[in-house]
Amino acid sequence: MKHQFARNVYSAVLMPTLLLLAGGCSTQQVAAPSAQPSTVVESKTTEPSSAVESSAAQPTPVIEPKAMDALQKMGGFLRTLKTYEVSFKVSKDEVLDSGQKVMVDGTSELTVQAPDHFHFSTKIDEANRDLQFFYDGKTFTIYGNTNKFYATVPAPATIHELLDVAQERYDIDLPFRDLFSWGTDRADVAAIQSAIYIGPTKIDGVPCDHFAFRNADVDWQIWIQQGETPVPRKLVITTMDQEEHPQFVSNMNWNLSPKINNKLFTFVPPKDAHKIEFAVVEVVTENTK
Amino acid sequence: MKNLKLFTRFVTLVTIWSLVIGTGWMMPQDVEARAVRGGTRTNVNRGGNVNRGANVNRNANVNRNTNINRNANVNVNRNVNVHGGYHGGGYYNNHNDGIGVGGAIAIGVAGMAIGSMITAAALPPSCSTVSVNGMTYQQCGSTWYQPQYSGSQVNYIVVNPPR
Repeated sequence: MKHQFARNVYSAVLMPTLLLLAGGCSTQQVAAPSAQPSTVVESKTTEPSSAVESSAAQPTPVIEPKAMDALQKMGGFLRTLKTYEVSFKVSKDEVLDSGQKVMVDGTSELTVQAPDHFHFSTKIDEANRDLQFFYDGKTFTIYGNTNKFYATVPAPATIHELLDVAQERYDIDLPFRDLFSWGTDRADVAAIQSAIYIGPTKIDGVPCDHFAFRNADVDWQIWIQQGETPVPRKLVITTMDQEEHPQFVSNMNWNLSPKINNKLFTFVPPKDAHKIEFAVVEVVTENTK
Repeated sequence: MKNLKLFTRFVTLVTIWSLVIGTGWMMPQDVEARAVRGGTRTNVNRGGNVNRGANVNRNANVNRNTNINRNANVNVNRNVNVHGGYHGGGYYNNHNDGIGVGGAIAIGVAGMAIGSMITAAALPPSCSTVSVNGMTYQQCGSTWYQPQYSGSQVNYIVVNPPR
């Protein structure tokens, strides 16, 4: 009888404890690999280090003409495009308040009819983002597919101007803005401090050239398709002025001869949609308020 | 003895269930409450003529179409604590990410100051969408909110009841 009691005590007290321990063990296992590299670092630092010297002496940044030429060629080509579609697969680091980085994935579709039409839809499940943007040369509309809210404002005459207005006035920095900056004076070519050619590789099976650039605030890499259609197939941006150095990764698939229905660019509110306002960003240069 | 056996079984069950339930209800709550700093750049080129050093205020132009509410031109400072869950709007809003979603303001309740702003995640559970004079509102009991796009995220501003 005493035995029976002991067995029951075992199941009542020890079982949950074991469960907890098992949980603890599994997290320990996960943590183990990350602990290893730090010991390697430790052994390194005990050696008389030449690594410290090399990091102390800042290597002079290199600007390879090949890299700058490739960027210019890509920009020039992008500016010749009239009607096209781009499918994006993106991953983006979000920095939690703790400083921890988490990566969320999403997809986007861009349809362009230069110079004054685009439709952009974007979806990131984990960020509750499922949006469409419409621009038809007259109005600009944002529509939330989930919350059914839309806001429409009068728009300037070109995509270039609209992207500026969206960014400055409505605080919407559309992630494809670079595609319209390159090949124009909106590209911060002067901000490039380092430009190097990494080498040839393939993105989604397509031969590309891989370049790495460094600006004051971002490190960025671009994979440009080889041959007659030098479009960017992949872009990686590392935000350097954030302590955690979060990254944005975008893979692009281009269709340069799409069939487009012109209705795509003009927003027609669904019956259950609700019209709301845009908050306007006001740049206050003096503290008068 | 039989009673003792039953008792210990009962304790086992309660312990295990409390573990299951205990962690169970914590999980989604935790995920929901994550605050994101944002700031990850999605474009290489800075673009525009944005003066990033300046004090940027949001002019909400609340209720400009109605004569009922005189609370127009509410300036919502970016440093206002916006309560919400995951900052879902962070995706494009490079410059919109100073919004503190640290949970300083509790779930939207009656008595919040006019002009206060909350995210969709912080809206009370039972609200209805109401259209007054062509404007869209969320009515949550006696508190009225006006939704608006701040960047590409919808935020809710507490307004005077429009009717």
